[in-house]
Amino acid sequence: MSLSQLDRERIDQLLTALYDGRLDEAESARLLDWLEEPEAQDLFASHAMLDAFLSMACADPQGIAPLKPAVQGSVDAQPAEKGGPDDRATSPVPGFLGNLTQLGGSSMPTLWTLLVLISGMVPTLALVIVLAIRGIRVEVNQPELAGSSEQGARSKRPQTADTKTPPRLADAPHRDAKSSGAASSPASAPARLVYAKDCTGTASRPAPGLARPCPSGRR
Amino acid sequence: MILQQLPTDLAQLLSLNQRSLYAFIRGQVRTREDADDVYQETTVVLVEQYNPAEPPGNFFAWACGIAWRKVLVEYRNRSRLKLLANEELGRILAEKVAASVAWVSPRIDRLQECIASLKTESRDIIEGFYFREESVTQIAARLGVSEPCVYKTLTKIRRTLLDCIERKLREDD
Repeated sequence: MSLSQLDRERIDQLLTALYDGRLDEAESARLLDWLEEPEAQDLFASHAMLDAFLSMACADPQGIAPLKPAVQGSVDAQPAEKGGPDDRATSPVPGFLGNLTQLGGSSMPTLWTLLVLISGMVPTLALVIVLAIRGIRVEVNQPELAGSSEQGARSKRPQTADTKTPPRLADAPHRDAKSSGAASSPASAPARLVYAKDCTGTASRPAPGLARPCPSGRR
Repeated sequence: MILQQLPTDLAQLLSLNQRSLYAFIRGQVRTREDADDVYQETTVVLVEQYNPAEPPGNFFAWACGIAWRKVLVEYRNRSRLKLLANEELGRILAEKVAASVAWVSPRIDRLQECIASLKTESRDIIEGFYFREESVTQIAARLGVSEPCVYKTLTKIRRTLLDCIERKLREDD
């Protein structure tokens, strides 16, 4: 008995269900009946063969690139900490700087370093001015110090200043540099997942879905 | 087990038939993990039972026979067993699958080309089913279509691929 095209399709779908592990007893019995036919046996064989090679073709390391972080630097594989490099993605500044670097041809780390240096110099300069003003006032209000021990008064000034300024204030920009400035360096770029390549070696895209529904019917 | 430690002829036979044997197993089980397990167990049996003094006439067929029994063990508690419990039918099917695998194994490059020629939607379904090991139900839910639709689509794609392979083989000839 020769199988019709409809029979072949039906068998093929049953075999797919079998491979999928979803064949119920009734379907299993029906398939068993079919498989008495040599033609259906050939179908089974070609189906199994194609299942095998499709599985292998899709899983072939030569055809598929595993999911991996995009490598841009030596430490890219390190997960980005919260508040760290990844946060710059929400900040408008990197984009702005990025545009600048594109226009100017400079590198992001250089610009960031410059920014950090400038931002670090502002409080330092303010501190120097405050200290200078306070030093003048001490000299004006405490003439005895100046008179008794000029050297001692001078040596006290920085101590006074130190008690009123946060310790290691100048370090703050450097810490910022680690969390924001260094974020732009290639070495600390965030680990980004790329799509696995498909069987053909091209990057797969999210499924757009079927354009039209299939006609309903039992498999 | 290190291949270099095996008898030279067995190592060569295993190396030559590795891909085909794995394909034979892969066509019977659903996941890569299961296939890997069955393949490993099969290889162990092959090494244990191989007799250099009396090598099997057809190594691949012999290996497939052993693999088939391992597959049956693997699926003892699954629905597939009911289908394959018929030993005679199981033997026939195993032989046919082994023949198909042996025939197509050297032509897998053609299959790669044919997959590449599929439309994006079709390729996504194939990759979902075979590479990401999604079930038909999952694919149907993801695409917002019915399960019979996915079954029919898979059947169509499979036929398209087979036609494509045959056409490319004819072109080669």
